[in-house]
Amino acid sequence: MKKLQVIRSGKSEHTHTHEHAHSHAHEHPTTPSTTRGSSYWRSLETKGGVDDAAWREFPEDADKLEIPADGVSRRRFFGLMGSGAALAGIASSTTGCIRKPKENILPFTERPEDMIPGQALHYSSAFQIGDTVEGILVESQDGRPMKIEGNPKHPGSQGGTNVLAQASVLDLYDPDRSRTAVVAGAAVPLSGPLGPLPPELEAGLSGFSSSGGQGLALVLPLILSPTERSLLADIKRRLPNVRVFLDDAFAPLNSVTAAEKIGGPGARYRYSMLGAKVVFSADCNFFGFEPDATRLSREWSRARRIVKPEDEMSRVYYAEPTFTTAGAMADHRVRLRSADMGEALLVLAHELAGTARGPVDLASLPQGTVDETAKQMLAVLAKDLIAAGPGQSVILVGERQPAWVHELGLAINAALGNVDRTVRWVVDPTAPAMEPLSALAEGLRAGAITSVFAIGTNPAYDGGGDLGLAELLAASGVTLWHAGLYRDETGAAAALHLPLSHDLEAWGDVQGPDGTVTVRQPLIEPLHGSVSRTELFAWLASGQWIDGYSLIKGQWMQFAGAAFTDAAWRKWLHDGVVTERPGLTAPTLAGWAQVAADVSSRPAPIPADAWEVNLVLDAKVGDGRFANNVWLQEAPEPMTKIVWDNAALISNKSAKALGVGIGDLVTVSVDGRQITIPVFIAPGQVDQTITISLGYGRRILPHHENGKAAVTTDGAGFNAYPLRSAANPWFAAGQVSVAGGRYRIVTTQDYGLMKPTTGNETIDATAYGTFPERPIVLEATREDYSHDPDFVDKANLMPQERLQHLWDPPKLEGLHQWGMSIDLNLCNGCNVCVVACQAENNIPVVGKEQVGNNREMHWVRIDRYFRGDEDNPTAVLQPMACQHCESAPCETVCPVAATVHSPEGLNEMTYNRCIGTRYCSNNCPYKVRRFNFFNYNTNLRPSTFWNEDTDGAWLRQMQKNQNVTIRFRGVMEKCTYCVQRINQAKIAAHVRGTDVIEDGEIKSACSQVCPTGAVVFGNIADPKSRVSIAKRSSRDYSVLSDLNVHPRTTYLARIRNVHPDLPRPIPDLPGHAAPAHAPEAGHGAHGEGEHGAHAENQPHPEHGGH
Amino acid sequence: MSHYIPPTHEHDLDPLEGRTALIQGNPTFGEVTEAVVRPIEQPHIAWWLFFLPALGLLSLFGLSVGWVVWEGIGAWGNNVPVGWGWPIVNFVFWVGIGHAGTLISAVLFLFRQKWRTSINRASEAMTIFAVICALQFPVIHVGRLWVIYWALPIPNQMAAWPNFRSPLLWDVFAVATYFTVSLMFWYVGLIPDLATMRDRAKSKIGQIAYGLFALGWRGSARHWVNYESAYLLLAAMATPLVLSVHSIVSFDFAVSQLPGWHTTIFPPYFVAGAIFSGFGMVLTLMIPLRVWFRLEHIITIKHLESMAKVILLTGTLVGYAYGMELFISWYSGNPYESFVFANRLFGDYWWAYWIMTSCNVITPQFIWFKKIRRSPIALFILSIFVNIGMWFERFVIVVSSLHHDFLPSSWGYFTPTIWDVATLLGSFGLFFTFFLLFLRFVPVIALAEVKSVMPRANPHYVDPNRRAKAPRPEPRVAAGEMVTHEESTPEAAHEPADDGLSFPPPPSPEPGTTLRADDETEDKNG
Repeated sequence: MKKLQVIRSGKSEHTHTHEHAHSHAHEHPTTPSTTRGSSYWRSLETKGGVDDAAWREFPEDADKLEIPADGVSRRRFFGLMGSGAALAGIASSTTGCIRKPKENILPFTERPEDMIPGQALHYSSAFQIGDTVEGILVESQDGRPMKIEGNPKHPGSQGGTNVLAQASVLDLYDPDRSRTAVVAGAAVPLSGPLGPLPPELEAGLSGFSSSGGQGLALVLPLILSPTERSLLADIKRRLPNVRVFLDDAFAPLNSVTAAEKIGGPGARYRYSMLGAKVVFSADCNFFGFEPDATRLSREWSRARRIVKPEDEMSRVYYAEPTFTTAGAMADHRVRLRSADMGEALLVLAHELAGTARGPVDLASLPQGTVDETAKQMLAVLAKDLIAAGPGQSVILVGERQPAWVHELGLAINAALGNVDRTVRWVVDPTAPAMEPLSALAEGLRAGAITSVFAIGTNPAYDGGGDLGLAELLAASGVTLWHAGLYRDETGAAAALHLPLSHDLEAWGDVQGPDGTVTVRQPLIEPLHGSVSRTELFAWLASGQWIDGYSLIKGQWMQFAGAAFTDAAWRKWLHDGVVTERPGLTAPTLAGWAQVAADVSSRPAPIPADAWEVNLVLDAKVGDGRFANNVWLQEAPEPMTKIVWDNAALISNKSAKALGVGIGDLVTVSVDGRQITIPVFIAPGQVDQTITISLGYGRRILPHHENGKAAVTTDGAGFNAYPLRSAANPWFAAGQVSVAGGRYRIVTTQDYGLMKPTTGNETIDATAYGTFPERPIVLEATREDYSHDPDFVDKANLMPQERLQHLWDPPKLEGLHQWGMSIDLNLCNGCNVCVVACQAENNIPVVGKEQVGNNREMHWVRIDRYFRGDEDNPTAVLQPMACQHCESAPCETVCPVAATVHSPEGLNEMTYNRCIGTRYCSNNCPYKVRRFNFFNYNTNLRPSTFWNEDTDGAWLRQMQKNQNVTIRFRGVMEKCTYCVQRINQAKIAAHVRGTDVIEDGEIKSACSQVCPTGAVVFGNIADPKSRVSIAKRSSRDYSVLSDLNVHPRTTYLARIRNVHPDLPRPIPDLPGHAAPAHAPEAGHGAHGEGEHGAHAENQPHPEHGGH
Repeated sequence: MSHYIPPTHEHDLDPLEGRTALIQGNPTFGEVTEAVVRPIEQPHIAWWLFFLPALGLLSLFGLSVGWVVWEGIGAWGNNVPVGWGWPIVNFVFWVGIGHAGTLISAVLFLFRQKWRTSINRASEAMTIFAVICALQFPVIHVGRLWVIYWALPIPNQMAAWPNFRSPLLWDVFAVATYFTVSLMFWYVGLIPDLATMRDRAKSKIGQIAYGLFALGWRGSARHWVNYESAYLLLAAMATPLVLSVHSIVSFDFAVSQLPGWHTTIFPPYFVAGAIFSGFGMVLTLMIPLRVWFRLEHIITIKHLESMAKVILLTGTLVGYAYGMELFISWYSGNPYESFVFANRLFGDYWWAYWIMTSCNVITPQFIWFKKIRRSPIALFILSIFVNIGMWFERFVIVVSSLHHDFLPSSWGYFTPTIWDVATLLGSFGLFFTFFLLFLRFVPVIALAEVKSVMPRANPHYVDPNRRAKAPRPEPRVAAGEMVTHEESTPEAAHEPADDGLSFPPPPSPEPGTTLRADDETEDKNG
């Protein structure tokens, strides 16, 4: 059993405990000046001598570092620290660890044999957002957490992560994080993680002790930590009158309500796609931020990975108002308003009523009404569900749907025999009772609540809409306290603000929805002397400061009782999964009778002539808590490709009816509350609906008063919370009118049709439609695939035998030959690879303006192409990074040979040799090379003359991967297949004495995090490697094969498991249609047969300087 | 010192050849010299009116280059599909302009086109300055200009060597060779005239400066022999460069595999375009110049007309190339190729394509009309359109091919920034600063050469005034044969050769002229 994940060393027998881990991790990073000063020296002699200190474990006087309460002198401390940091790179990473928690001093008298300087270590931890819990492994380099991987042992991640977890490491180093307590507008530096809180807070709380917390409200996010839940109970014991409110847009309130109605208090259910042959998703984007989406993605991928045409493959039906990636990956998608989802389920229920029998009599439910297209699909779906057999299907209901729709979905699932198979029920017995924000608003209005303590929440921002919390909290007579990562809207209004520790800085624990518990380990001492949420809870509960480690370990001693041993504890920490915890029990589903009642009393659907205003969690920044994460801001929204903004998505038809185009401002109002927001035309959107993502329009105060925020989220996007109401948080009837004015929306990709147009609507009359579709993303129906397994070959525009090389192709004689295979059947466009690559390869962020000028730096991008009718198209997704062409066009044209081929088939980029002619980029047919137009790494605000926040840049640098060069301006860069990982594995293999890297020993960053396993990387010279097997598939093809560049990254064509009774959503392949196969009218999907002239005439979006 | 007033008519015939005289008004050699050097010796105050703005633009060039070097290439509008923007457009534009000079001075020389002598000096100067401008751009457009020498095959301790498969490296050699040969050719042709300037210089500085550059030229027969051979050799060396340079510049595009660049027609098409644009620029410069410097009798309408004809020819060739590109893009059946050309015509940059086509294909067709091609004003306007059109041709090739290539997902749009505009304008400042300095200090007409094509240089020539006094004997030297006078002296030059029996008298002592006949009006240099 592995004791410690040292993934890259390939060794499995380590005896480390977390204590080692902890102590290694604590290189104190607070003062950039000292680390900066000590970063460079010319020789060891100039630095203070080799003999004295360099080869000793600890720098001189390190023993004095057990700092007494009154403290050593600051000068002395920093002096030692600087010396220690300097030696960190020489002796070992251990000497960089200066500050150690008292509980675990385990000085190394000898360096442990696996402790290799420069070798990264991995520690297990967990990431939680809403009801989604992912076990993670955090990579730490010399004490700096720098990259997050999924923990393969954790059921919630299974080795993958979602994009938020992937990006969360950057928040740790966010220059705008709150660094001091702020009392009445004045900064109060905290004396340390365990120092006393500002006296104002102490005094306030002691006042409440006497009244039992009368008038005090705690505003908390969804709490899944067993320790925090237990502490919360303690708080309630100490302050019985305290009221606890839930403020978390990620919390699955609707499905919880439905579950508790049917299964009683604490009942929860979660979906599974394992074994589901037929899936119907009613607005449930299981690739997005639905609960447990990462696990669902992985389960979905198992049923979509096919090798041979005969292989089993699930069929996914999808109904949604806005095109999402899950809709793009579905086999059949139908546009449906959010308000009609319940109706659709009712239609489905009646279709099934004759055959499927469950606890709810489906036939007795009221009739639903949907349009003809949806009805047609639902009828076929019903047949398909019955044909799949009991327990072989799943109906997914999106969290945005009200509780009655969830109940209905559960009833249908039950009728289909899916309970305990694809719908799994549990009881969460310790779930704390939390009141909704509407109760908080009422309490504030009534004066029952006089003090509010928002811990890790931002009610002044996300309590907008009809609650009006921002005004209520700012009213006189209300004392507002805030603890958070940022001094945000609530922090700015608060009388007292306290910085909270990042998850990677604090001990904690979290219980996943299936009952899996993970203990979260800190990897670094809090950068800004902050306290963790758990510690703050403990202080509220006891009035005492207890450090997180004691809290968590103590709690688990209690929970586990006699089963708690040091060995067990170490194993939990190592594996990232707590084993000594009884599984969750299943509830008795006694409330089915409620379903029919709730369905009958459902609210009237939004009238057909009204606009439906949909609010969704933003694919980039969620509900807004990640708004300051620049990786996420610049990871394009998967379908619209918008960066740094949100927008009102509407269909082209509706936009034309309104007379607006992309970027035109409209006023959207719901119940008299209105916002002004630019329009973005989104193909696939239901007409007369508008979709706006939450999480924008944030305002975060900089960490120091006179500076600017390093990341200016001010002005990014538009706050949609005012449209939200407590009753209809996700969609409601509203009005839309033209506001006048324009706003620049920036995307990384135009609409992009594989059948291109010149894009000029006024002039282009004839050219349009005469160009054949380009064979870029190949897809076929399952039926076509089985008739013609080699269909991908027909996409070659030029017979392979006619292709000739201008130069002799390089001889590739390396031991390994690296290659990648990307399964387009599995890629769901979730952006995780984009952010993972950014974290791994030190890829800078360039900001909205620069993205607008096509200068984004992502090494991997996800291309999205629409096909067919502009209002109701299908879409495909394709990750695109350097293809590592064997006969690379970029290499021949470089005048200085800065990009050359390695014997192992890597197209290598030598940054140091590059003079920046950009010829390679011009000659790259895939346009995957990225140029450093500015010095993005030292200037957080590119294209400004002076960099105002050098402090911020230094903090940001702590995230950088030390094994990857940071590129200077003026040089080209691109995907390297993570050559640093390859080289580390080669060194390890050399040390082993074999020089042969085993399959799976290395994964590129993108393939490692991919939740669906779409990306496979490895040695194609090894016929048994996974990548070789993938490439032998008949679906394997290379993009632009007729250019004869022989890319090493190839793709597996997408297969749509289309139901024969439904209109075919995709046309034949180019070159596939026989001449006799009359025009394109045959593919009834768009019935009219108008593929030509105007049917696909996509409007040209505002992009850059159009 | 006589002040020659140039005639306004253009109908003087060459008395010996019977054709329109290349130099109108039958001036004497001395009058030609006077006319050409007068702007140097008595400079116009107006020179400053041009020079100061040019200097201002040059400062703008320095400023914009400085800003780009300080900030990064991002100061320009370049982005990822459009890796090359205006800098490369400007590079090709300026290199192309250079071609006219070499064509006029070398190719026309080898083809014995006498009319070239009136314009070759200025057009060669234009070539050199245009190539200097062109050379700026590949240098400043790279991301790290401080290491640009890595593109040169200099043995170094890094053991790094350039990649000889890259067309950019071919460019380095092609343009560097071109510049070197052009400069040498120009300079060699200048030597006799520099000696004239030396001999006429009144200031010490002038005497020393011109003297240094005149390399001790005395006009001896041996000098002339060496000079003529050197000039001929350099012309022979420069001639292939006219074809090679722009062919190789076109390889930057043609060797890549980008649709719209990857075409075999590029080398001849680029050469034709270069000559086209070069002659356009020569006209743009010469038409005002001949008026300003009162050289209409030397740079005559006939010269302008000849150049216009070259423009008509090359412009039509370019038009043919445009048509052929379109035809092949359709005929090839390559969807990427055919899309790129449709996109050029109708896509985001349709306006650039139609500016290019109108300027380069339609404009020259006006030259079919004699009235237009003999009208300096009309030609000047046409030449401006040619310049604009050829700049846009390069813009179309560079930007419209790059912005939409293979994968629609990576398509983008290029928008120039203020620094793009500043760099282009600044390069004109660089060019005009050099050109105005040239006008100020160097004879704008190749004196020695132009005199050689005047009737007076013909041994058969008899001055009509003299003939009235005494019939001129038949010279015993065959026409065209060089008559040399090793030991000519100023005194000898002024003895009237009126005995009718002896050889024609020694030529004028005026250095740097190839006098073949006596000239009573020749005045003496100090």
